[in-house]
Amino acid sequence: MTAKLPVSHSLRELCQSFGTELHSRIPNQMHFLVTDGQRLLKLGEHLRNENFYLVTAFANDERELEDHSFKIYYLFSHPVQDLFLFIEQVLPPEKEEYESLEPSFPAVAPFEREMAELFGLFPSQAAHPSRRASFLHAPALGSLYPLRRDCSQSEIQAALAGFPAPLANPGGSPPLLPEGEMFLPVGPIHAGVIEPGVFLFRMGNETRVEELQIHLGYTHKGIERQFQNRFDLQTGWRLAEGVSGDSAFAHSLAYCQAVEALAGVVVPAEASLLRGVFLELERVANHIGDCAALAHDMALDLPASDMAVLREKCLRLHSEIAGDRFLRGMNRPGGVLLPQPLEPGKIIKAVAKIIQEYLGLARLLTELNGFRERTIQVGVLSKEQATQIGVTGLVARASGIERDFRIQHPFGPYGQPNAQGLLRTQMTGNRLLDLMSREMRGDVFSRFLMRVQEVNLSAHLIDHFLEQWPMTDSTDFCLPLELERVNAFDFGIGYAEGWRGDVIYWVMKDKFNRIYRCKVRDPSTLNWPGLKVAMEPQTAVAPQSSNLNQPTRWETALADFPIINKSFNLSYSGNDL
Amino acid sequence: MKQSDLFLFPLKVGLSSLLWKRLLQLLPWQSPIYTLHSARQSGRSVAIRHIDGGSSNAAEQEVTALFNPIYDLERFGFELVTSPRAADLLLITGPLVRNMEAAVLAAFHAMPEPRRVVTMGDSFQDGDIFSGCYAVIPLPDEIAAARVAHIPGDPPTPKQIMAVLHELSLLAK
Repeated sequence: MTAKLPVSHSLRELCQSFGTELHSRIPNQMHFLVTDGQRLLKLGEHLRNENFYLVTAFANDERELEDHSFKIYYLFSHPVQDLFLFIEQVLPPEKEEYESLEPSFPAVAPFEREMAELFGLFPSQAAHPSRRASFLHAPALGSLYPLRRDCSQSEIQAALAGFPAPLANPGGSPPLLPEGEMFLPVGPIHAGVIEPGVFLFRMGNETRVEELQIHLGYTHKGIERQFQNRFDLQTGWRLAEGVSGDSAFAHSLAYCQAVEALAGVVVPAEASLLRGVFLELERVANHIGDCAALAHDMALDLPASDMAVLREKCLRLHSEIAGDRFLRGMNRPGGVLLPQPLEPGKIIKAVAKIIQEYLGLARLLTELNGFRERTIQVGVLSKEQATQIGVTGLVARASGIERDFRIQHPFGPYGQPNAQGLLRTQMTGNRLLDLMSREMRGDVFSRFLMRVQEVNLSAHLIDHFLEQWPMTDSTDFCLPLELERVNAFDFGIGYAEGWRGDVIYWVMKDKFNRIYRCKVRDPSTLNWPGLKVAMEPQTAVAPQSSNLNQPTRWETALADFPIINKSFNLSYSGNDL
Repeated sequence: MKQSDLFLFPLKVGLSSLLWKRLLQLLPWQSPIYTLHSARQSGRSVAIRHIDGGSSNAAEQEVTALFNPIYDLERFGFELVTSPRAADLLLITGPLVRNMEAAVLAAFHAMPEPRRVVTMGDSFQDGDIFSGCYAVIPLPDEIAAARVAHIPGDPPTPKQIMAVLHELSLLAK
């Protein structure tokens, strides 16, 4: 644990002046209870000034439990140290309003929307959040809220049947525009093999984007409710793998770690190593696929095709190891089950070959003028904006924010000093290509470079983890969990740095071994607002302009949207849940 | 006229279309000779419009992979089209969710007749991880009636998808 005493000490004093401290079993987590909304707002301002960032926020229906009320939980992270601050707010009984933290943490907005739609809890000071983009697209469900415990699935199903999601203007009819401006609606079905969602562009003229509104929720399946209804703590990993198919391993890992935190189990060293290897394999496959898609969208078909072949090779490697092309079916709460003995030599060799080819192609792309012109200073998300809206994962790193849960909150095998050394030198020091000495500026090019750099780092990490593999033919690295001994209504937090960013699971046990509530947080939820900002015109000082005092106005052409969208590559399914 | 068409020409004129179809059904489809160039054999290409009915995006990854240089479905006469108005086939990945119902139906009605639908993935069946979710709905009757095939798998691999599409394109004549 890298948390030094002074910080946690002063933080503890600060939080104690606003609320009561609760006992936390996990050393890097501090847990506070705040009852008064106004004091929470004050505390929020302090945390903002100390550069804490919001990890997740969610509500829970605990009217049947000892507090007889709804609770809202906020999870914050210290900007540098391995320290989580978990704040729990008890709403007064029968009260369905709370004080919104949005002024200090704009990132809380999508979570408030969830609370409004799934729990019927509304912020007292802001406008009704369900007027913004919605999950259910059925504003007239009345008092039926899918995650309230007194609301049955069949009731919701019947009520939803009368409300097909609107195909046009899901955010309400747009206002009249001045002459020359126009709205351009896109979706929910897009012209390609991607997930559904509505983008509404306000165009300044035929090519210039003035504003982008993103309306999601089209793939809302009711996953959090499904966790409670059909799964118990031991089997929930299956549903976690279905939250976002391309980051199935990160999701199941975060889920399993949450249950392990709940049971107080440390997995065997082999299982820990395997998890590191598979998490990095998933990262390699998806980053390569994203680079291929980016090149394909610019009609650079030669590198795009070659990279698509490399991605297919990665998936076939997954299939050889796991029997599944998306590395599913191996993670269990308590460890890892392999379908067959691991052959580390083969994996190292295969990965090395893929990486070598990939780096060659990536270098080719970075040197192509056509590629540079379409990516440099396009879709810029500056460091200030990124910090302000609280984006995470790869998008944050490409904007120059050092936020990586593998470094900051090391889990599993990443806590090893050598792994930390690799992570730190690769992410901050030695840049891979000469071009990478360029600072991360938050444009499409930076996000591309970040992917290349992370793939290279993943290859090193895979080698490093597999070198420690004890050459065993065993396939079962799973400890039994004694969940019966865990107190009812205890909870655990699990986190994993997937390829999009940190995936967070919060799991609460009920009286039996079932799930009372499981909150899923995919990094996409925090990053969608980043895409909106990156698409909109900005006024700033261009870094390479000769006159540094002259602010320039950047505009985004509509034709750049596919490229900017691909460079973010966010999950719709993981966001809509 | 392409070489393969020339080769098949006597067969095409010599047999009535019904007889030709029967004959095709007798062939051993699993053998590699027949699984290649099937769309060309059938004498037509197949335009596919893919729709995500609300899936976890794994199925989309596999549909994308179908058109990479390894599987390259396009060389067999299959192509992905952007508009349902140009599509012979609607490929729906599941589970179908409430919020996509209207969109999927709109796309279905925009297709020219005869409308054909292929569903893909185990999430259309009972017992899947998503079955019983409040926002997941069964396939609308209209679409279920137009369904010509279902590709099982979670999600099916590109090879499995290819095998089914080949078979379909042969029978589609």
